[in-house]
Amino acid sequence: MIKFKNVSFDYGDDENKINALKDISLTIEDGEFVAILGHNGSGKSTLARLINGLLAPSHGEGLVDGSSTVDSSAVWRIRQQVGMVFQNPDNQIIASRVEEDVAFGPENLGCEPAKIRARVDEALAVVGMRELAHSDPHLLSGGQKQRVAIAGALAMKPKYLVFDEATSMLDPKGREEIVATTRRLNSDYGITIIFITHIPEEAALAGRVVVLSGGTIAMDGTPQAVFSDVDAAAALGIGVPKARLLAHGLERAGIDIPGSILTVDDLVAALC
Amino acid sequence: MLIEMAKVTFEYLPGTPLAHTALSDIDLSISEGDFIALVGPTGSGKSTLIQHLNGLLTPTSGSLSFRGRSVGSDVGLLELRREIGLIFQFPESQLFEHTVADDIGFGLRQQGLAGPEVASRVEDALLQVGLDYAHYAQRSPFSLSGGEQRLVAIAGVLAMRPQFLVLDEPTSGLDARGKEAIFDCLDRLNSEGVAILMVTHSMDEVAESARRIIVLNEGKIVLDDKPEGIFVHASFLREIGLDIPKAAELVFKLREKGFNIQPDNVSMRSVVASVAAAVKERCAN
Repeated sequence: MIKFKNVSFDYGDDENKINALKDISLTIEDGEFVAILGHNGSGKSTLARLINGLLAPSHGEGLVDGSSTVDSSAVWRIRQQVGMVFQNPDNQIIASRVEEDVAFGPENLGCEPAKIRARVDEALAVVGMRELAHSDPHLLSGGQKQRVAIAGALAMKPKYLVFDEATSMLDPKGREEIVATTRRLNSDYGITIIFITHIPEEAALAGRVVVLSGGTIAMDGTPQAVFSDVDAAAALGIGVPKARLLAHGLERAGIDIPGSILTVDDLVAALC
Repeated sequence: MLIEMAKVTFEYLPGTPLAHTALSDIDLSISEGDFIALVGPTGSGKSTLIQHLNGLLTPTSGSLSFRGRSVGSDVGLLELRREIGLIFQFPESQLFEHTVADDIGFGLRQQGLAGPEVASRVEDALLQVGLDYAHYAQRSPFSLSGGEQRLVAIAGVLAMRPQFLVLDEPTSGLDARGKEAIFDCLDRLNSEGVAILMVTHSMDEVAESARRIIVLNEGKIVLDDKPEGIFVHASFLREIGLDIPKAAELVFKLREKGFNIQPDNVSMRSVVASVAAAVKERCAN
């Protein structure tokens, strides 16, 4: 379980203080798939970096499985438990062969060679990249590179994976690959997923959506609840899935449609 | 005619085992005031094509002309690049000066323009992207949000007063507000007579803004039409790995269910109106 208790975070010194997160309290249970949605500058990436102790709260406390993220005796275990996948695939690949890149983490944990081999093979199989194990990562597509980055995190055997806008630099096909992979990791392998995004369609696939605005939690609920009020979502700068917008337009044109519609297929079913 | 490409073919690494034809036999005319979206799957040649537009790449064969004058012989590359502004993906990564005003004015100073002229053009450029001069000019570009940084980078190109603006994925990575700001800016520029060509993956954006869509696949232009004429080819677009706008997808799926809706509806507004009418007609029967 990940627990934030009254967490605030300030960037800069006392004179030029930017209050990125203000008094956030949030609990994420094991096995959840939580999307964190918010406009640029709402505090999403700061929140991600607080989860595994890359940043320490200015006030309050962050706990991963009961251990504080600032406890120096726990921080290495927390970083092994909480894997991160960042926005730019080119910034997180360091080796010249896919399998070497994935092996970097377990090597640094001091695993036995046979164990490293097994972990790398398994991680690459999970993300569907085993056939490209010997490729040069720089020749891969964006979606493939991000899957290598995910495999690198998986090789650490994490309980939690945090995706910090991991799809925003990808084309639609790459985006689909990553979204499908995260869903599989959650449903088949029980990994808790924290999926940070500003794309409403992606957030709509999560079980729970937390909306950040100006460093505070503005909404926290199911995607249906969060996207039910189109105007409120616009005011928070997050937008809603396009299908929801179409349904909203039809509602205003006098057609009776449930407010919970988030996909075109749901909309077609409601109209037929 | 602003730009005319005739039988343009471009090959990377010609004469080597890695030779790869990125564009083949492209015929393309772009008029003054056009607002074009260039779409296509990854590797279809979009980036190669736009790099031809301001002479960063020159055709392996075929020719390019700017306002009827042949590029390379009648029009020099310097002139071409002044008239045609190219904005790369994530242009904010090219910001480097201490202040927003200095960053936008950099190109102008390189051209040797005098201080007052630079200052007035910087002010105009900020106005064009919708940022207030007094509030932004003296700030560090690195203290701005991602969306604001992108607008400043675009202003740096606008300060050169191009007649034609070419943008590679101008909204990628931006939130809903940032995207809106970019489109407001592009619409405004276009209404002032600047031709726009943007590369994008977002079909929803394309349907709302562009007046002409060019679809590239495997280095060839496969469709070139108004948005209404493009999305009727929904199955073909899916086949080559492209999305269709959610609004067009709704029309497509309802038509399959027997709804009486014209297939050439693409924008949100017109789809909502025609779907509402069709649903009411069905209920009445």
